[in-house]
Amino acid sequence: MNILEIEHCTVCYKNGTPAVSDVTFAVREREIVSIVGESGSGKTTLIRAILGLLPPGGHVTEGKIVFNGMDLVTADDRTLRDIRGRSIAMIFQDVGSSLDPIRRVGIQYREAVCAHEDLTKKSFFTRARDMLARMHLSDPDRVMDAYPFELSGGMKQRVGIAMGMTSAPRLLLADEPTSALDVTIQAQVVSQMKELRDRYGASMILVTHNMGVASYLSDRIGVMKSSRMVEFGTRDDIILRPKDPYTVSLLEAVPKLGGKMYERN
Amino acid sequence: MSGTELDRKGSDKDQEGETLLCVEHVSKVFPVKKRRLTAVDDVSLTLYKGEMLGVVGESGCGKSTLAKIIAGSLKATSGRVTLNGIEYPKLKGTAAKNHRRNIQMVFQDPLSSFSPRMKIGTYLSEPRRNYDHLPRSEAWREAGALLEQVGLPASFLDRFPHELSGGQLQRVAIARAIAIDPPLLICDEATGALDVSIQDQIAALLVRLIKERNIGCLFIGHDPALVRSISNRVAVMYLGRVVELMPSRLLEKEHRHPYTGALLDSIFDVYCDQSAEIRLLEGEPPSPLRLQSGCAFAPRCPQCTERCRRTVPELKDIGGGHFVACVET
Ligand SMILES: Nc1ncnc2c1ncn2[C@@H]1O[C@H](COP(=O)(O)OP(=O)(O)OP(=O)(O)O)[C@@H](O)[C@H]1O
Ligand SMILES: Nc1ncnc2c1ncn2[C@@H]1O[C@H](COP(=O)(O)OP(=O)(O)OP(=O)(O)O)[C@@H](O)[C@H]1O
Ligand code: SF4
Ligand SMILES: [Mg+2]
Ligand SMILES: [Mg+2]
Repeated sequence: MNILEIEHCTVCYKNGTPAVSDVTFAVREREIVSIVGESGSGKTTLIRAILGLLPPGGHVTEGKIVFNGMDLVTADDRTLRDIRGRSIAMIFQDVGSSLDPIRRVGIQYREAVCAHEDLTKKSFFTRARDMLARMHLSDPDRVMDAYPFELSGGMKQRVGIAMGMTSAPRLLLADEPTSALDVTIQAQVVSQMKELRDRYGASMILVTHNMGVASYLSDRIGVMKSSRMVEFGTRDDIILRPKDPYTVSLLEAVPKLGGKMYERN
Repeated sequence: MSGTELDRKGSDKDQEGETLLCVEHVSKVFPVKKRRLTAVDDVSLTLYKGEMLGVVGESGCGKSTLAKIIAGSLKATSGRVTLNGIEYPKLKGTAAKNHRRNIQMVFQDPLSSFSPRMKIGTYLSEPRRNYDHLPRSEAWREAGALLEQVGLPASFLDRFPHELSGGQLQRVAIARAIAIDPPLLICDEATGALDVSIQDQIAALLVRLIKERNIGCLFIGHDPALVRSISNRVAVMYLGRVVELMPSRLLEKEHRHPYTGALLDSIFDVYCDQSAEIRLLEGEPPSPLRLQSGCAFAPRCPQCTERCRRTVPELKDIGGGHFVACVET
């Protein structure tokens, strides 16, 4: 069963050329789909379009985005607001700048969760502390009390992931969720994302530049270049039997521990 | 530790050059609700001209704090930082202002270093106009060339920051930092938002510039494989301290600190077995609010012995430019 279907979707900003051109793919129940590809190829634009969270000037000009049988492109604001957070949650690429710099992290976290769930202060804090600890954040209370500038880049990112996962959404859209994390904490976060699927049956779209993470977590992978989805297939198709020359070049460019050293002459 | 000892710390004999930056016993403590948060704890490092020094370590271990202290945007609680022998954080007035161009930094969070109403072209031409008093038109033309160097079209000069993707912005920030040939370049997670193919081009560009212009570069990164391939030496940090420092070519097979081993074991290989369990670093993450008496890694270390809990291990020279802070080596 498909939980989300994106059909011939084109997204434009006001300066004209499409940022996403004619993209089609679907996400099944309990499936993890990764989107990898070129910087600037439209990955963020695509997953923001799903929830109607495009920046001003951005519009879906063609196509459908169907969630649970409902076209989100034509859905009204109220419907979208109901879906956001509860059924579909989003982890933003740049969590740091999506947090308000002059308000404490805990208050913003609570607002995000309580916007769609009735929780007492106490049960919110119990759950939030548990989520932060799962993200391997030490001192959850200090984190909740902090202003964003008092946290490191990766700590803010982990708060963003925790916020997105707290309500156990049916579909999680994660835009570069581990880009600011070192590899040991990345492994911890990846295991939590896997658990969200295995234990709670969530589906996921994961946008990432980390080919190793995409390869480990995904059931299927889409590769984007210059606004188009140049290849979409099972994890093994893309990783082991890539067809498009761009996918091949991307896999070759992954830094490897025993690999090349950059020339110094 | 004496000055000469510091100078040689972790250097590879054949790569040793003229000292550019000297960080000596630097610590940073933030007051947090009447408690002390030790973000950087007694770090000493040397960076040579034309050298790339890589830094890896756990999220929150103090990498950006150290970078900001070196960049001069944050004051150390104790310790000394010098560039070409000058203790620049102590400079005042015009001298301080003139010194600023010597160190350029690419910040971890690119969007926050842009002002939303400033065009990319203005942002990129600022350093050349401010420091070198270049006329606007000339600086603008140079800015276009800079964009092309980082793989972006010159037409982006007229765009605003929010009209660029994450990785495009990150490349603009890199372009600005290299615009004025700073003797010291600091890259804090400067390639984390790039796809691996563009990351490869940027890495090659940085390595070439550093060599050609004899720039010293501190390169903070989360991908040990990338950091190893781009830098001459790698420093590994854990809870505010440097726990291992070595020539990059030793990282994979000859690392000695158990935390370095845990880092390398946590990398997801592209050709991994999807059904294999993830290898997790067990145990509680450490808290900078509660520094312990012994080795900070002790509660999570498989090799931990009674001795480890008694004293904080110092960085120890084990030869070949390799330094380790672990009592069991
Ligand atoms: N608000 C905007 N106005 C105009 N153009 C935009 C806007 N936001 C993004 N773009 C452009 O649309 C294209 C797609 O951007 P998007 O952010 O979706 O890329 P991305 O694949 O997420 O890239 P990255 O991996 O670098 O984050 C880019 O070329 C970008 O410059
Ligand atoms: N202004 C501040 N006030 C209080 N605490 C701070 C401040 N800046 C940083 N810290 C704390 O200092 C520690 C180190 O932060 P830093 O940003 O240096 O980490 P980092 O190694 O760069 O991590 P990351 O890889 O996640 O970016 C963290 O615990 C952070 O919360
Ligand atoms: S000093 Fe002991 S606890 Fe610390 S890393 Fe070495 S063996 Fe492990
Ligand atoms: Mg993006
Ligand atoms: Mg940082």
